[in-house]
Amino acid sequence: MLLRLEGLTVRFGGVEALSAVDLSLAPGQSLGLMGPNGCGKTTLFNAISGVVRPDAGRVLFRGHDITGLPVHDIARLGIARTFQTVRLFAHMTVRDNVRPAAAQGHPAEEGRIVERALEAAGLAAKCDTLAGELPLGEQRRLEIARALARSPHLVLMDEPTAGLNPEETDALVKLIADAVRPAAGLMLIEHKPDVIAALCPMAILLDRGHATAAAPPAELFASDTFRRAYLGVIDREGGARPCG
Amino acid sequence: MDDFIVGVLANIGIVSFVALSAYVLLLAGEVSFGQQAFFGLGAYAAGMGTAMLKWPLAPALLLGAIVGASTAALVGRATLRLTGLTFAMATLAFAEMMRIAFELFSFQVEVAGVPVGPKGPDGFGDIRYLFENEITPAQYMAGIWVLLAVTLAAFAGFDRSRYGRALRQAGTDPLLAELQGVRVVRVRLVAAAAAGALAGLGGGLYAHLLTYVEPGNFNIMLGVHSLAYGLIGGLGTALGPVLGVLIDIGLLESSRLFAGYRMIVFGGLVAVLLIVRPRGLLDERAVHRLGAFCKGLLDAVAARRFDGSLRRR
Repeated sequence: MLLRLEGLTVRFGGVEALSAVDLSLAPGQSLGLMGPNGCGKTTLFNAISGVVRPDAGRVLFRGHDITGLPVHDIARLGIARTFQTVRLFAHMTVRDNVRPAAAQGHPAEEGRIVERALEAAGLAAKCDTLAGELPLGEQRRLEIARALARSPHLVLMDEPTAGLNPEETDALVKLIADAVRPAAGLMLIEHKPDVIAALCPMAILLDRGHATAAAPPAELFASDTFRRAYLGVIDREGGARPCG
Repeated sequence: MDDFIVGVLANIGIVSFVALSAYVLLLAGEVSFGQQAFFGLGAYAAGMGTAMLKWPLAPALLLGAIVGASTAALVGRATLRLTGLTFAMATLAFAEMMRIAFELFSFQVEVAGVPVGPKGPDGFGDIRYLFENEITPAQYMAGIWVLLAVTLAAFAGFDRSRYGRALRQAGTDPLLAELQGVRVVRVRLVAAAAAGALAGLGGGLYAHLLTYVEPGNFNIMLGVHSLAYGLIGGLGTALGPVLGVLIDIGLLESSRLFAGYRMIVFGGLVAVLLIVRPRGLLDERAVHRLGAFCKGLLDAVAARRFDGSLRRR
């Protein structure tokens, strides 16, 4: 198993952001994560990547317990991530943004890894541009190039298409399908059902910190649980109505 | 060369070391008001090396740099997990502790029948290596600038290195750097030690230039200035803090352009630049544009030469 979460629980004061989440991901598998804002999706990524320390439960990655390891050690084990709001080193060049993730061996090898990652992301021609000067679509691509440069086993992508227009979204979905999925396991947070459906054969729903069992996206979207989480209480006669 | 100009140039060179020291910490994302402490430690250590132990200048300066580096690493271990204002306050508190420690530190030995060494608030005099070895002020100034040039060349290489990139990334967004596998705390600790070494080296040079240092030389104003030089000159290149020193000492102080009002002008300059160019005159964007311009120029020259050689054939 590539990733296994066992009873993962994260609390912020009195709020339980994740409640005993159990989840498994096989090598090369892609899993979609959906759920309304504030349901714990990003917290789940933060707990896996070491940014927040779980209050209970374990994160097992390739058979090793990585719960509570420092962020840089988890990254070096091969977990890469992208962010909902693009996070780059804006006043460094595109190439220099990617280099640290590739800095795992000989400098010459590092150069080759960087070139390959930029080529795959379609940014080879922009390698000397400052990252902050790229349009949003290319900044999203740069995040993906950076993730690829780590030669990761698992990529955590947090709403990679947020803020993109339909054409840019299609291009990014194609990039993820062509470059990320063949290279690593993928966990994808998205609000757009068609993006999840295009990239992930299985998806789960997070609602107020609780995870449902994984199901094919079409099945998940059709479920009452899904509609209740996004739209509110299901009234069999009157349809969905908002909670509260 | 005119003695005044020699003195100004020597001063610019020496202060550049402590400015570079604060710059390294700014790159690491930390604001230090305390680099004057390591400057002072370097001054005392190097002075003791030549005046009390009768060492040659080079090992004495090296001793100053090592004392600066090792103390900075120790202080860094205790403080580098702090951030922002708390880190700045910790560095200021340490620097004030050191200044008071210099006031209390008396340790003299007899050299040729004369007591030599630090004498508490009376300072540390008779650091007469330059006179004893007939090194002229102009020669010493040239030596300082050679050392500065070597340091700047090392910075140029460092900026292109893995560690240089990691330092800038750790300073810009520590969490993102960690997520790229950068060990941010370790990178910052090494940066703190390097900054201490630079300040210590500058302090050693300073003690030998003046022949006399006292605790008051290493007060908060030196720390504030060294920090401001990077913020004025820019954080895009190591030339930035040197540019800051040139503007302050070379222009404002030496020209007496704003005699009596210098500190007001200097403070105003820092305030204005923090608003309009928060990362200084030579910020990363400016350095990138300058680099691209120079590369374009070199490419054009190379293309013209190539055309010329084709025509000759």
